[in-house]
Amino acid sequence: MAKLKKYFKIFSITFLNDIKYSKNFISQFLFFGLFIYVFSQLWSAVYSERASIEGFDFYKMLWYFMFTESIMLSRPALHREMSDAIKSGDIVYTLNKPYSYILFCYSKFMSSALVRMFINMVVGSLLLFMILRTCPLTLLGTIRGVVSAFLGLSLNFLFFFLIGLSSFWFEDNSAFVFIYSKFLFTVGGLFVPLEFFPSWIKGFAQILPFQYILYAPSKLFMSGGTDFFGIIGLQIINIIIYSAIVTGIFRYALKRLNVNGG
Amino acid sequence: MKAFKLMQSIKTFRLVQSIKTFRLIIRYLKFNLSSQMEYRGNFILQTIGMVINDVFLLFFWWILFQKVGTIKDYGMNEMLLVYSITTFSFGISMTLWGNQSLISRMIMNGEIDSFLILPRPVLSHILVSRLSLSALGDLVFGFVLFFFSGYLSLLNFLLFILLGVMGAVLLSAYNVLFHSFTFWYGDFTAVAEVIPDSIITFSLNPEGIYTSVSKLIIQTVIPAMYFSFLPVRLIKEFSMVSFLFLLIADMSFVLAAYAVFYKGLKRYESGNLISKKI
Repeated sequence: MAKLKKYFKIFSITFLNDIKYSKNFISQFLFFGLFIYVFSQLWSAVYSERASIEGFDFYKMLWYFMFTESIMLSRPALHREMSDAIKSGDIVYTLNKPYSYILFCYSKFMSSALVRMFINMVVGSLLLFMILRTCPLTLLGTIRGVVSAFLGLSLNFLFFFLIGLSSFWFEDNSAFVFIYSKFLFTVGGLFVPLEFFPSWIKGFAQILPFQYILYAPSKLFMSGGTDFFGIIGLQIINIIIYSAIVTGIFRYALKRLNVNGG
Repeated sequence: MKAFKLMQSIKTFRLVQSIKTFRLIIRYLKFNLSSQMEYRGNFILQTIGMVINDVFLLFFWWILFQKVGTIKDYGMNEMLLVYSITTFSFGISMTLWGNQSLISRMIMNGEIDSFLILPRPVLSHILVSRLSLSALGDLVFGFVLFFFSGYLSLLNFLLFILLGVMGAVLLSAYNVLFHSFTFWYGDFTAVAEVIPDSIITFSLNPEGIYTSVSKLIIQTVIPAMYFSFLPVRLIKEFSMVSFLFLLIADMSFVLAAYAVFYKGLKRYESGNLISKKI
């Protein structure tokens, strides 16, 4: 526990730093609200001619989108920070400190992401409640959804860290971020739930880890927590697998680190 | 007579300045292009990455149209046209003026210093000093997609190119406008990154879904109307009035961006960071 204390400290310092610039949050969440509003326009147009698609009516679809978008928009730009640190050589200043670089980044990432996700969900829920006058949330579903969203963000961190590590080999890692984001958009279930996909794509999406970042937590929020243990079990398995991959690649990448001068 | 000569010399001075700025842009383009081509593998990866990115976005609409047929008179063909004009404009804008999405960070890090001491207009110099070749994928994607949109004709093609350039200028102006708020609000990077992205998000939808308030938003705060929908309308059915309206709207954003940036620049506080600019 004492070993983890320093990471909690990093977590709280990042949190305080984010709060210090809360003006940024307010504006960002205003636009998140706007985002929800615009998508309500899209789904309103779509559902004007039908009551339900694959078991999702207008209300369910908007709440689902609000949850996926809340998680999606909560991610800080870790890949860019890592890219800058690797290219400039500044990474050595963190490597020689008495903490794990991976856990250092994890603490920072999660601090920013959780704060943003929490405010996104509060702003989004209030807005949707004002528009729709209905709320599918239950206490159990919310608790289980939050636990699953935490694990989803952890998995998201691992992918972002992997993309950040690509800076050891590639000059610019933004292409990887774009591609990764689009995996989340599609087979991750950001815009539409996996139920909308043709069966062959749905089958493909179900063997990929991306559904555990957005789709699975959002479904838990919506369903009141049904199949909670099955979902978080699979999330934990994915986190273990990708943690091992990240650690292995990080160690290999460090061998390529070449810092000259001081 | 003296006043006339003074006016003439001012005009000549401005013309010389414009030519010099244009030359600077060309030289930056050549320099940045050669420096990016130093990492060919990376360049190819970035370009392919952006194309994949765009294809994935179309995938969403394919899924949706499979389920619902059309949305407010928009089918897959109309969405292809929306995507082609949007990605083409985005590609031109980001490729040529790659620093537009980094202005906020540059202000925060005190990186404007190196531009202030050089004898060229600061804003245009900042914009052209980075070439984002990853956006070349968007440019190529948008260009190629136009041929599959079902609206291909010689006139439409020429119009598509012109509207693409106008959209690129609008997007850059919009980016500059919002990033310039960093001069007033301190660390504005998070918002400055989110807002310009929103113009793309708003643009990549059928126009008909926007009604009342959201229609007003896309005509003002997030000008997707002038970036995507009006150009699409013009390609589908050209109207000189609409074209002139689009031109005025684009110019308004350019002037606003210019004014806000230079007003903000007066508030710029240099950092003590020592950096070099090659």
